[in-house]
Amino acid sequence: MIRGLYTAGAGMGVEQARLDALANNLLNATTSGYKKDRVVQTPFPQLLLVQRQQEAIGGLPARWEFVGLSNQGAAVRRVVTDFVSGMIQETGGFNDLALANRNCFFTVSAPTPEDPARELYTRDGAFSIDGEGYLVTVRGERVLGETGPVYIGEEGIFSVSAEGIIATPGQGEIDRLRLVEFADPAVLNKTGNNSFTAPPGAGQPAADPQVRQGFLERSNVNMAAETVGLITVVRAYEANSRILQTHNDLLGLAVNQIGSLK
Amino acid sequence: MLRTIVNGRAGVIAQQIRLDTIANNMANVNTTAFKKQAVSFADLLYQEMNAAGRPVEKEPAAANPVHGAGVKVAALPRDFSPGVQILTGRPLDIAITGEGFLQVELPDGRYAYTRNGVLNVTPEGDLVDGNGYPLSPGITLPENYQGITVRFDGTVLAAGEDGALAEVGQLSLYRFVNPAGLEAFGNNLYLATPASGEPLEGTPGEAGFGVLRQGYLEASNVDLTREMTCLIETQRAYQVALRVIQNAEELWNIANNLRK
Repeated sequence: MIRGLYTAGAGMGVEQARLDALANNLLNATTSGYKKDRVVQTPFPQLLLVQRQQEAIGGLPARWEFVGLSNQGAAVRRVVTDFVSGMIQETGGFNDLALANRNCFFTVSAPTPEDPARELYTRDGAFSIDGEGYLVTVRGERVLGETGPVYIGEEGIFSVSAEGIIATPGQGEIDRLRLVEFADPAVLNKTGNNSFTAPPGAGQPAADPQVRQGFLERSNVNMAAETVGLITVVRAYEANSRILQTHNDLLGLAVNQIGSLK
Repeated sequence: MLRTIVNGRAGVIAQQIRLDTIANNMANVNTTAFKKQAVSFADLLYQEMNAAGRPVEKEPAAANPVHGAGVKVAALPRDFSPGVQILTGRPLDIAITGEGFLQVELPDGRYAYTRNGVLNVTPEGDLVDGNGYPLSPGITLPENYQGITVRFDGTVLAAGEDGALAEVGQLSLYRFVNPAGLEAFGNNLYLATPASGEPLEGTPGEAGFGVLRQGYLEASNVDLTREMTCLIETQRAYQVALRVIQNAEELWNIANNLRK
């Protein structure tokens, strides 16, 4: 019975983890390029229950008897990010870029003191040109082209082809966006700020990125599905709490009533 | 639960900022040369779940599962797309067709930039903007001028008492590599920042610069339809952030009542 308390408690913990993920999805329903998360749960490792037989009177050794398998409730296995494309919305701004190919990402340079060559991947293409003439994200990280950070210069205007080739009216073609494709996007880890990290060498140059200028990719969160998820979280949490209470009641009976003399 | 409530709060604050921005855009729908602002959001840092006490049984090789911390406003980029030009017929109304700002000198000696071309003349004959700040480089009109003409290339001509036009100055335009990085100073004025880059001076009509149109003013570039749809979206996103808090609160309530 005491194990049952912990089993129900673990179930409540998993529902909390699901609530965290659903809440984060809903709060980012208006974040450009956000990809929703889903919690995958699993049973804790199963335990083999054995029972020790009483020592026989004749001094025979004790025997162990298998009773069966039991497990200790649920746990979070992993958090899966769903890379389905969000809605591509027309904004009209020349510095808003969207990638219609769902496996492709922009590469941005985000140096840290420990790793000056750190690169991040993002699908949030709300770019602008900084005071020095470089193409940057809304957080000021420089967007990388195939020859380094994309430098637009003083013209302040550019066009991008579907393959990612950047051109300005004055200079013509200047660079090509470094767009990478991940055969298995599960290698990407979220770092916040609409960005992902990936192990070195995981991304391949994108074959068909389908860059759309003047469009932005919205979040891929489905509000209705997430809200339904919230309802199931609350009720599953409640059900686990009932199990916990029932165990508590049973323990109460065992402690107070079994063997009491009236 | 506490974490979800705090995350929900972050969402409420972010949507509140967006609502304020939309309200400011809508309130300035009739402000001459007003430039609307947009809001861009970003997700916050991710943290390992087991650190927060969630039961985790990960695959041995996989990274620890993480959960997010909500949302924040990443930037409020200003959209410098042109507004509609409206004919006013007033000789001292100047609209800029294309890129560029007029430069005015603030009383503290700094320079500010504006696209609001409602100019006035001081009793001394100096051209000033609608706030009374002198244009830079300054233009002084002769005494007893009868009329003023501004050519598309910025040449300012004044008509004398005999009706003859004489050139009295030249209006310059200033542009920025990244106008979205300008700091709004209020009163339709903007200040240069490191993000916007240094102002680049040019003559109206030169490559990369707009031309001047006398007797016109640039209207606000706010599109009310777009703002209204954003307003609806913001209201619903605000609601859903509150709903998240409510759900977390319900879970907490269940936990508090586990033992009656």
